[in-house]
Amino acid sequence: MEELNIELKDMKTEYQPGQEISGTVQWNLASQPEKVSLQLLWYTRGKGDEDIGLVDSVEFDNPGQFRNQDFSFTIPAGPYSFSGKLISLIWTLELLAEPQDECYRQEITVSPTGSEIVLKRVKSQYGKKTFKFGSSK
Amino acid sequence: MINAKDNPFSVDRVLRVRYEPQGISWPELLRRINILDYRCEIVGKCGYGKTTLIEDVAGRLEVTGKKCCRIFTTPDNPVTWVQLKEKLTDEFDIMILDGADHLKWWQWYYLKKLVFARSCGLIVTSHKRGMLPTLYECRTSVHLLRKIVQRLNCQVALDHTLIEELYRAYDGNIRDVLRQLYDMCADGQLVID
Repeated sequence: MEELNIELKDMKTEYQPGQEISGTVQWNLASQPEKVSLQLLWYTRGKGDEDIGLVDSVEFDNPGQFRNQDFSFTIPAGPYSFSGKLISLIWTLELLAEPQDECYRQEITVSPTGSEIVLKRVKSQYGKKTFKFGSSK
Repeated sequence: MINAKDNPFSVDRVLRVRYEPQGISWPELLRRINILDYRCEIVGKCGYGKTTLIEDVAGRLEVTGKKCCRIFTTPDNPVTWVQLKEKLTDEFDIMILDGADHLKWWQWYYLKKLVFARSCGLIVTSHKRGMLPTLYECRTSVHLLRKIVQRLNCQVALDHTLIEELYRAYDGNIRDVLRQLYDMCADGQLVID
């Protein structure tokens, strides 16, 4: 059974730009991996195609089947974590073991307040188009 | 309002629903591709699943060891002849061309000539038959739409009236129905799981 885990220092998941994100990664694999790496990245979700931004990464030398390893990255200036109706931007740490193709993700938030920014509807000066069907809610 | 990342009809969730050929198994479909010498077309109307199917075909062929070269072209984002020629310098066994009917006639003529001269396969999607022997025609139905919606959100799939109305309103274009469901969900018009 493959086990991967990311433990953040002080279990902190909210960060501001410029802060350090650190912690420990652990893996316990059934077979010897060729490569184990940790990536700091953001990606989008929503109505459109996914965008991904790889911000930083570290590859662990001579990974072995099991290890506890400390890590640390610096959170960049942006983009901020946000969510709206059409798109969300999500930050995450991703621990990857190859060729097992095993992956563990730990989501974090990045913003000046540390919390996700919620985008709210702005009232348009133009009339709103609605689309209604029969007896649907 | 539901956030984009929590919307059951977000693109990443929709893309996880792969194509299930109707009336034919995957092994039989792959056998047919082989019989057609890897030179064939997938046809169907807009939003009927041609892109999903050709992506899955390419993936399954790659698992068998075939090297695929993929090209995707649309009227909004047409591939140029320079880009096509560049792709022809790659090493491949089969060219996968999604949107073949969007090529100019002379691009299609020379591309086909050059790919066949290399003894390579060519699998394309098109809205109409006639570019190559037809491998499969993508069709949709209310039943199919309901199955897809059920994979994404069971509660919405229970609203049979809604599903049927949407299917008719969008003339079977499942892609557009799913986009509409996204919007309805985002606006809080739907009860979801």
